[in-house]
Amino acid sequence: MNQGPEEQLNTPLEDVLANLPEEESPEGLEERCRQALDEVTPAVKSRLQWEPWRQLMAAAAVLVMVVGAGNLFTGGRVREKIFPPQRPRAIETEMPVSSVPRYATKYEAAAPQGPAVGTPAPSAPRGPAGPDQSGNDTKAALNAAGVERTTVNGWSNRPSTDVQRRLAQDAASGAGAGGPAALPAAPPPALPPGVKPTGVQVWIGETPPQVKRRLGVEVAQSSGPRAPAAYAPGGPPTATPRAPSQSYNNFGVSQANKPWLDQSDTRRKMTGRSIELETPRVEETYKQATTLIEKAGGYLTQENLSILRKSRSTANLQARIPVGQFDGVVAQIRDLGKLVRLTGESQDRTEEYQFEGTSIRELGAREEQLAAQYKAEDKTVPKARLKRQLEAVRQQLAATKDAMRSLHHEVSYAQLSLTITEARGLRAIVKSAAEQALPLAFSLALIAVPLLVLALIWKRKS
Amino acid sequence: MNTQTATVQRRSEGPDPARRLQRGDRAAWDELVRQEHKRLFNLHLRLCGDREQAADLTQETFKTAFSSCRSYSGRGKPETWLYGVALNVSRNWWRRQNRQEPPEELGEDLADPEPTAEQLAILREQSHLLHEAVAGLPEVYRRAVALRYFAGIPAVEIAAAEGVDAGTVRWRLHAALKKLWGNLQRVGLEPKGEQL
Repeated sequence: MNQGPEEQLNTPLEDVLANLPEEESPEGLEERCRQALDEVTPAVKSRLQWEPWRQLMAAAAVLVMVVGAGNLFTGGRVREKIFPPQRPRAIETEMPVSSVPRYATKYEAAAPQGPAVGTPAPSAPRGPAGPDQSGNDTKAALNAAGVERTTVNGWSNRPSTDVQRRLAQDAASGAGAGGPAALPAAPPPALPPGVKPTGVQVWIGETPPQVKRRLGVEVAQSSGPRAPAAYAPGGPPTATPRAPSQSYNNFGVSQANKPWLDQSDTRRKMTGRSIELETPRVEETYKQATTLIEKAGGYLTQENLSILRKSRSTANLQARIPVGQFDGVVAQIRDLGKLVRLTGESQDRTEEYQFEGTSIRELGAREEQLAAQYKAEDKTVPKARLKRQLEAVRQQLAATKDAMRSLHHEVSYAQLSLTITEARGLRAIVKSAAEQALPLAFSLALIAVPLLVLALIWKRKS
Repeated sequence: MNTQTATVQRRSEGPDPARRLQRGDRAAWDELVRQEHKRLFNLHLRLCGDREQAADLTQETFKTAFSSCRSYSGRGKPETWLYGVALNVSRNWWRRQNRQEPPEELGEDLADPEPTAEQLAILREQSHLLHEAVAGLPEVYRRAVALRYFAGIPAVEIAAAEGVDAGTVRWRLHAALKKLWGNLQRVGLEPKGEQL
C-alpha cells in the first residue's frame, strides 16, 4: 500500500499491516462497477442551479445581520428608520395652532412675563407650590416616558354657557354693594408678545388669583394645597377664568359676599368625594366628566391629562361643584367607566358657620354703636379713642367676613377628585408586553435568522 | 477509438478532476473506477473476509459514491473520500449481518504490540489472521486501521475526512494496534517466543 511521504510506519506490526499482499480482483469487477454507475444518476444539476441563489442568500443574510447588529447597538434607531412608528390617533386630531388655547403656551410664556413676586423659580409664572410645580414634573415625566401627545382641550377651560349667562346677570344687576365684578365676556386675548404657540400639550389649570379676586373669590382664605402664592400685579396673564363670579349655594339665597345674613337652620357641611375610574378611552371620558361638571355650575381647580403611547394614559382633575348638584354629578361620573374606588368625607361646619355669623353681626352692631358715639362725641381725646376702637372693630369685622366667605364657599361647593386610568384587561396587557418586547425581538431576529440561514448554507456546502 | 470514447476523453480533460467528480462527470468516474477498484476490493476483502462479498461491496461503494457525489466537498483527495464511503458501506453491511460491535473501551491489561520476527513472518504468510483480528476491532478503530494501513491514507488526511484532530486519529491508531495485538493473541498467534 502507498504510504504518505510525511508519515512513517514506526512499528513492525504497522509495517506488516501496511504491506499485506494484495489479491487480484475478480474478473469483470471493473465493468460491474461501471455498470453500477449507470444505474444511478447523481442529482448535481439542481445543486449547480441553486449555487448562485445560495450565494445571494448568504450575502443578503450577512447584510440583514449587519443591520440587526446595528439596530441592537443603536437602541432601535435602524428599525425606526426602516419602519417608522405609527403616530397615535390623538395626533391626527391635533388642534390647529390658531385654536391652541393660551395656556398651552404656558411653559414658553414664562420668560416674557417676568418673574412673579414670591416665586423662587424665575422661569415659572406660577407659585412654587401647586399646579405649576406638578405641571413641570408632569412635563418632564411625559418627556421621559416618550409621550407623543397630551392634550387638554380648550373648550373644557371656558365657562359654560350657563355660567356665562349667570355672570352676565350678575354684571347687569350691578353687584353694587360690594358685589363681584362680572366675568368679562370677551374672547380670550391674543398670545403675549414673544410667545410662540408651540403646541405644548400639558397644562395644569388653576384660576389665577387676580381673576379670583375680581370674581369675589377670596384667594387668601380659599385654603387648600393648590392655592397659588402671591403674584406680581398683572401676574400670570395666560389663564382663562374658570370659576363662576359668584357662589350659588343650595340655600336659595345668593350670599357669596354676605353669608352672615343667612340665619337659617340648614346644616352646613363641607363635602368631598374621590373617584377612581378605569376606562378604555381616557380622553373621551375626561371630556365627558368636565362637561358634566361645568353643566352643573362647577369649575375645575386642577386637571392633568396624559395620553401616553407606551404606558397607561391617565387623567386627574379636581373640581368644585355646587352641593345641590354634587350627588347627581357624582352619580353620572361614576357611570362613565368602571368604578375602582369611591371615597367620600363630610365635615359639619354649622357651628363654626353660625359662630362666624354671630360674630359678624355683633361686630356690626358694635361698629354701629361706636360710629354713633364717635359722631356724637365732641371732645378731642375721647373722640380719638373712639376712632381707634372703631378702626380695630372694623379690621376685626373685615377679617371675620373674609373667613366667613371662605367658609361659605367651602360648604357651598363640594370638592370632587377624579382619577381616570386606562383600563388594563388581559388583551391590553398582552398588547403592551408585545409592544415592549417587539424591538428586542426584532433586533435579535435580525441577527438570529440570518445566522440560521448562513448555518444552513454552510452545512449544505460542507 | 470511436466517437463516443473520444467525446468522453475530451470531457475528461478538465483541469480539476476533483471538481469533475463533484459534478458527476462520468469520464472522471470511470477513471476513478479504473484506478481504485482493486484497492477497494482488497479493503473490503480485509474487512469482510469473503471475495464475493467484497466484490459486491466494491460495486455498492462506487454506486453510493456516484449517487452522492455532491457531498464531496472537493477539498480533500477523492480517494480519501471514496474510502470513507467504502467504510460506511462496510459498516452498513456489518449492521445488516447483525454482527455485534465490540465495545470501544480499552482494557487496562492490554500490552503494547511487540511481535517477534517469527510472529511477523507468520502474519505475513497467514494474512487471514490479521483480517480476523481487524474484524474484531470496534468500528472506530477498524475504520482508522483500514484507512491508515489498508488504504494508505496519512493520519492528517484521515483527520480531515473524519472531522477530528490528527492527534485523535493517531491515538485511535495506537489504541487500535494494542487491541489488534490482543485480538491476534486470541485468534491463535502465540505470545512471543512460542510457536503458533
